[in-house]
Amino acid sequence: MGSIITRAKKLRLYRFVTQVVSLILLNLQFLNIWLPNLTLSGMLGVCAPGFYCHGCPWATMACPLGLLVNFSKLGVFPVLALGTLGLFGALAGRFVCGWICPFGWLQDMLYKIRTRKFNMLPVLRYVKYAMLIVFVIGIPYMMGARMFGLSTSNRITFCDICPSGFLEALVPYASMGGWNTDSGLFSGFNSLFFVKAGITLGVILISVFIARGFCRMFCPLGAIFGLFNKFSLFRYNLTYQKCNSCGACAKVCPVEIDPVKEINDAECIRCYECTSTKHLKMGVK
Amino acid sequence: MRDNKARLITLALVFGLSAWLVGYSAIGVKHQFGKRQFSDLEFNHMSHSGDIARGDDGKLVYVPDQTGEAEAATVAAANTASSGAGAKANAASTTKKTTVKPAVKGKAPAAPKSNAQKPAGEPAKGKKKPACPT
Repeated sequence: MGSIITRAKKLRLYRFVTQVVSLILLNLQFLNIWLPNLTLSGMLGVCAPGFYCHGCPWATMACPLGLLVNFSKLGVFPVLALGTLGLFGALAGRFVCGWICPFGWLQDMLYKIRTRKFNMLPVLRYVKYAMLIVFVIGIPYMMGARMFGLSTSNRITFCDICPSGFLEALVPYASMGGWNTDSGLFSGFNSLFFVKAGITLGVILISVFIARGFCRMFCPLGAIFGLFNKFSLFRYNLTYQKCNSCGACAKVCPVEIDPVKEINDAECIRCYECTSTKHLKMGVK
Repeated sequence: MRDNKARLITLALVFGLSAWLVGYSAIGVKHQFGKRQFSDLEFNHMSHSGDIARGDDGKLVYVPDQTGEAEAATVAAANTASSGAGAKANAASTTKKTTVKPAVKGKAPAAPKSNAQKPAGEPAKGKKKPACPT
């Protein structure tokens, strides 16, 4: 078990480095601090694979969920967003969740806070599919088409309640503008602000107590990538000769699944930590 | 073995379709608004910076045109791509032309601004506040 933990720790370190590099690459506009003339505006139309906010002052690319919401509102087929998600998903399923997503990294960091930890109710995993259908596609489309009295002035799409948007766009812009209501994104301490702040605080608290709580319960992008896990090019294979049903894989799994019984499950974020037992391996088979 | 065959077929289909969508977005999709033509990347950016919106009649409009920042034009929110799923979906919502009131003449059309030049959500003069994600 000792060697398994050592290997798992090593993988965690690799994953941490990759996540930080992704965070930097997705927010390259921060180079404006030293290079004021640098603009990467051409990249802002490019769909990023991970979940973050393109409203961030340093954002390099577009959030795939933001694109899906906006395109649903406009009633236009999101050609690039679906193509990008399809390519990354078909390559390695939820690999993006485990290794690239900046919001996933934030949750990993929050979960390191030493406190009592809880398991997630298994039924809550289905909430993210409802989030995808209702808040990313359904309501924005109905708003654009003005169905059921909804108009684009209603603020009930996923982007309006997105904790990533609150942390990465609203807070930075409001801070830069001295929390002045003229500062663009910040429209004052109104009810909408407190709803967003409450959701963000709730997500932060969940992430402290439940590993990857937001990813597993609410993330619509996780719901999309999860669909690819079963048939993606790179996926887990069980090495039957070595598996003695010791349960070590389940113990190291950060998302509380048993990788042997539920191999390539939609909840698996492809962190590869279960491969540290050497009973499972990643491959194209 | 049979499962693996089904998996490989699904994988090939998904890869092929996704690659085609990305390629089609890069090369095939052009968004036409009056005299201006935007690539899909520009359109993606404009969709969340609030420069593209649905007008009261349900047609897509280029917001700076409507609010008098740019030269007045007849705004045709037609996607000129001639085929494909994206084109069909776009065509369903964007093929009809919408006439917009003439605005200030003699002013050069404003190009979409980068997020570095224009903070997201910053309302331009005479322009409605963009539909910002947050």
